[in-house]
Amino acid sequence: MKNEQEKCACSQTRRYKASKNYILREIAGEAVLVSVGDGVADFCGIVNLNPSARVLWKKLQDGATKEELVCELKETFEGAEESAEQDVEATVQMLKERGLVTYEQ
Amino acid sequence: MSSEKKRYPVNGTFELTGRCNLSCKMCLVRVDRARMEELGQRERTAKEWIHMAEQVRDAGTIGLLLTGGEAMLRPDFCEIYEAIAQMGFLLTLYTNATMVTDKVMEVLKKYPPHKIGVTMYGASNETYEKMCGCADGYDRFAEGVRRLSTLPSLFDTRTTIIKDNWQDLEAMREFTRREFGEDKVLTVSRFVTDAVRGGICHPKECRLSPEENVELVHEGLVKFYRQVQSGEVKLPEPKDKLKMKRYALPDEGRYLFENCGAGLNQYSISWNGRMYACELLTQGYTEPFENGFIKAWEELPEQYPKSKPVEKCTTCDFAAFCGSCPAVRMSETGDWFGTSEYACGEAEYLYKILSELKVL
Repeated sequence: MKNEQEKCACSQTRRYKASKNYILREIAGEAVLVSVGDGVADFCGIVNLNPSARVLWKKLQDGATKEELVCELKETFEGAEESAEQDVEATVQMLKERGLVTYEQ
Repeated sequence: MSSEKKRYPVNGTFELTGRCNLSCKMCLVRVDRARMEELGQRERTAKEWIHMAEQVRDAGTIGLLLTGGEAMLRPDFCEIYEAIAQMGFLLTLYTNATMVTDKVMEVLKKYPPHKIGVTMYGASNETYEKMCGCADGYDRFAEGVRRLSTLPSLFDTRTTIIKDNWQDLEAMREFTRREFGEDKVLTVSRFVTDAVRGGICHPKECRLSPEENVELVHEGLVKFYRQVQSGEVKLPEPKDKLKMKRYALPDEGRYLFENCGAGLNQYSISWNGRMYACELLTQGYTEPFENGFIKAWEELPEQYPKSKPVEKCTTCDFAAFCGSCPAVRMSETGDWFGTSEYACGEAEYLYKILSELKVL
């Protein structure tokens, strides 16, 4: 149990950062990520971002903790208070699994 | 354009040069320094292309094709490529693969394009010499392909068939399967048109006849037709007749390229810096380097006449099988609404085959 608590505390202070192998582009009003450099080997295409993912990616470009990401969503979208934490958790998990973000303690 | 489709410059082509190290007989584009001088035109510098790429990125282009001539012929190709590859395009590079140097590979490894289109002209040095004037062309091509294959990019192998390399088609297909995988297909150009933008070659003189082109493009159908003709296969009673939609230009008064999207969601910037709706055009351009990309894009549709019916085509029995478009009409006849004898010949032959197979 203690280990779990430590792990949780640890992950709260982790700073996540958007991978430099993906570039955010605005195409005909849509936000998309395009792979470049080493990113092409992992993913040869584009990722569509919904409005909240776009906000999170912009924040991640400078690096952010999950807490900061939650704040950013709450500040940007009215009525996001309830779902913000869940959205951040799901988005960061997805980006991590696909190698689109890295993190440091 | 007010009542017409919303336009976005989503896909673009940068023709970095019109020059090429090969001298393919059927090339639509190739110019040499003498022709460039004669035309009073110059290639754009690396700095100009990089600045143009920044403009098209900011305007919302996502798919960008870098092509030529042979783009790798430019001594500053690596400089242009490296800068553009970091801007976040879905990048495609077209090449004949005969100039893949260590320096080129170094930059392509650092920033692989999403897709590489490799053009193949034959399956032996003899064919390359006859067709492209390059005695070791095939060896250089094969070596280039092997080097490019080490990149994670998607591959597309393409060819243009004329009288000089038709006999190599099967061997070229075999090469494609061997090098890129059993499921990979060699794409054959549909139609060889006349040279554009002052190109120095004479494609009309070496292209297949209209009938031969039908036999190439509709290979499976023609094989079946021959089998029926020889009695090898008995023609089954067709269940349904083919219902063909008559080929038509857009409705009168509409944008000329409405059917294909040229100038609506795509554009091409030629080696001398002119923007066209499609790379098959010589007439109808704007000047993005002089006036900026946005202005050139906005003014592009005004460079082309509005669509109108072509009487010969509206009453033609073969029109449903016609391979021409406004760009082909212009290239073949010098008139946006002209009728290409070559396209008419193809359509008539295809109609004959399908009629004899009793599906019309």
